[in-house]
Amino acid sequence: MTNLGDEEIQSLYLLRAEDLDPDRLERWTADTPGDEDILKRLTGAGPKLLKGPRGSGKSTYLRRAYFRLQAKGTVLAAYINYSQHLALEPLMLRSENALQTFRQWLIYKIICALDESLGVDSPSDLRLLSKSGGHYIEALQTSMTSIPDIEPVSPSRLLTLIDKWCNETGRRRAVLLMDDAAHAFMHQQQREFFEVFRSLRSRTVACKAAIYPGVTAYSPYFNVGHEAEEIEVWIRPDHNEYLNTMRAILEARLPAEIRSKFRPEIIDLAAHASFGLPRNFLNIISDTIGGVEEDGDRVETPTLVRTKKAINKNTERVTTLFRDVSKKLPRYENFIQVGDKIYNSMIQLVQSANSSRTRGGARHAGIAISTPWEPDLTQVVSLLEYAGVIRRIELMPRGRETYNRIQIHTSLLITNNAFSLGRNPSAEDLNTALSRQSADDYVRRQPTALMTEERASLCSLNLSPCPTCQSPRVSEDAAFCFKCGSPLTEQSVYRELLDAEIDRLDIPTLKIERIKSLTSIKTIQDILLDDGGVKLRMVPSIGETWSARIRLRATEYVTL
Amino acid sequence: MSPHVIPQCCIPSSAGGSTAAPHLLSSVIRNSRPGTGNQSPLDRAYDGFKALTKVTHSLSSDWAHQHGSMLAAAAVAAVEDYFRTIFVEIAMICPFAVRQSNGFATKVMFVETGSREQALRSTLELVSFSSTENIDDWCSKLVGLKASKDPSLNPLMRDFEGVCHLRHCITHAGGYVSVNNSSALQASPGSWVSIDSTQNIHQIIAVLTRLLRAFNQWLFSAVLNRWINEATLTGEWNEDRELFATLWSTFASSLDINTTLPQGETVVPSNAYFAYRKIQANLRSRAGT
Repeated sequence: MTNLGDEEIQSLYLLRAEDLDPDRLERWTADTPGDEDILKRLTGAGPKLLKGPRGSGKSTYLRRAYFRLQAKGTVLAAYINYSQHLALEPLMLRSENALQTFRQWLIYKIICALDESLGVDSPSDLRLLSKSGGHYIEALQTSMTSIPDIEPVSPSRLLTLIDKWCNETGRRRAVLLMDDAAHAFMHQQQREFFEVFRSLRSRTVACKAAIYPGVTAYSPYFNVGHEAEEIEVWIRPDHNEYLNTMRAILEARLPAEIRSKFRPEIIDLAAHASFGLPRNFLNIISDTIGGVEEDGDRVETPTLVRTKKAINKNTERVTTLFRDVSKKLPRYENFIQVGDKIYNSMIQLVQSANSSRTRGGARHAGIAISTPWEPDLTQVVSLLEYAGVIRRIELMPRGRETYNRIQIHTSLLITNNAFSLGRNPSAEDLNTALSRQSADDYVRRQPTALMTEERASLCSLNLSPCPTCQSPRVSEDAAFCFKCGSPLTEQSVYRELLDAEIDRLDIPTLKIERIKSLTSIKTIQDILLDDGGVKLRMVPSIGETWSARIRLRATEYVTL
Repeated sequence: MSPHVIPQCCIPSSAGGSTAAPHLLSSVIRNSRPGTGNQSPLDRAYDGFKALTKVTHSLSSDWAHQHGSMLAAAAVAAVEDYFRTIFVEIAMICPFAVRQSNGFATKVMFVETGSREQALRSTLELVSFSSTENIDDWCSKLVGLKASKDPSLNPLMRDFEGVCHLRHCITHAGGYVSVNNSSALQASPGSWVSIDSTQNIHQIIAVLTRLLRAFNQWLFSAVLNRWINEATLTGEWNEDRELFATLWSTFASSLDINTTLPQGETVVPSNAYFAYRKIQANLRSRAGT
């Protein structure tokens, strides 16, 4: 058993690129195939949309592009993180100026990021705007009832200002890198975001935004392809260089001393199980050696048993992320329940197809569903894709039919023994099973194999009843109760999330119990209000690193 | 030459009875507006939407596209009524709008009604408010601002424009999408509008409700900001009560006042005095008292 130093702990547990400084980002990021091409497009001219599920590396690319442009010094670059958008939701539901407020929030976030990027070189008017913008953003994100005053800045004025700032600071052009920008599921916000994105386009200004697959809805005037080019960032598990890429990621993150304890086949198994998502990969690795359920940060020997446990834990994390969508968006609860059944059916289909394959060869790892699909199936698949449970890849024509190919998260397949390799397969068996994936490795079925009549009948939005007479809502869009005529209003999801107990966070149970018994922290909001983690650090075994991690988990919980 | 004997191509008109017209006229004309007399224009529109929601639900098991056409047209009619009423009322109570409307050119017969309200109503009868252009035009005439310039209101007005085009196709062309409507509806000319589901009516009502709430708040703010800036209000309740209370009753919805949002909040002050208290500090600081 080896003890981990602070830097090593950070390298394993700081999984979000937003939290890394340029030096760490550079040291801990490995080059992957297509990296240079993506970075070139992100640092160059023209609007781009960076698409990938959670943990696929979107933020890493944006941050790398940002630091690269910063180092260059000829381009005015700004990194803007919109992950806190849900904090505006209570205001959005209660104010008539909601869209204007949201638009100003989007614009002032850009202004503040530009000011931060220029630092001491920031022109005086930018510094002034940024100062008032900073207060405005802070007030908006913390106040649930009143909207602070601010001088409104339209997108066209911002364009003119950016031009001016570029001239004043001797930059040729500007690149705005917008992270967590799709505001998944918030239709109004998405529409407004893409309107601003579309407006901020000129010869000198280019916007790049990170979005999620499956759930991003554009504004009616936004045509992907025409308005912006999409860039896929997912490292495909069926790519020739997949394992080399994942090994390189590990090399960049894990100190050589710890890396040497891993058998190569264990690393490959963890890589396969991560489904092309670097964050999943690092989670599996850290769970394999970290023993996060115990108190303290020690390196355990990375055995196959521990790796399998870590993969199971990753499966739990992925499926919990999917199920949590219903907590964050209660109206999708029924779709999530159907989704649960559908991905289990997918796994069963794969399992039963694999059971008839001979031992020792490649195995089925996905399914292909013939098109067209009913809207309900598309909705469920989109939700599964957003959470990273599955991934739709290119269409596959077979005979007269065209199939939509779906890859299933490998952790789920391994956990559920979908490769039919016996009770206790070796790492080698699993790696061989996952070594080749061609079009023939997809189990072909009709949509009804997944979306049975019974499941389709459950696919309705979960709408809260009329608050006055408790009659059911007849439609998602109903503005009034059909029975008593009361206005039907929506409750704030953000408030519900803030009020949730800390047990919901993905942190060791022992730490949760200690926090609850030794501090006054009970809810997610309590953690967010604990400035600098002062209360958290009163708990034995929670120091600076852990309090930062816990606060990070709480922040993640209240973002979509 | 004797006329040709032409066969009937439908049942003779007299076969269906001939007393309908006089019966109708004698039974539907009243001296006052039906419903509660002191309702605000927004509450009246809400009442219309509530009735439509109820009817839509009751027809759900036996739905036909004609139901959809009728209900969609009725929903837009409720919105048009709101705009006409609110514009007349503003032109009656806001000193700026009164001055503006004094200069309106109108027909002599409207003036002969002897009532400013009647003349304004008659003038506005000639305007269709199922288009955002006319709404903007009248906002500009009465309060000197265009609603579509408001960034929060603008997308809602564009959504309303879409509903208006649907209504136009349904009401005037049996659903036919002409070249005039096609681009707004993002449909090809020659296609047809058919409201085949109760869901569509709820969607139309949702679009219209959102527009009216946002517009009502915007217009209230526009008028009140002017009153604050131009010292129409003094900051003393006793002096401002009459004017402010009239404005409040014109815009406030009693339905919304009595609505508690989930998580227990109310957002609309319960009466004119409490609403006034929210701006009193501004009024006093402006007056320097």
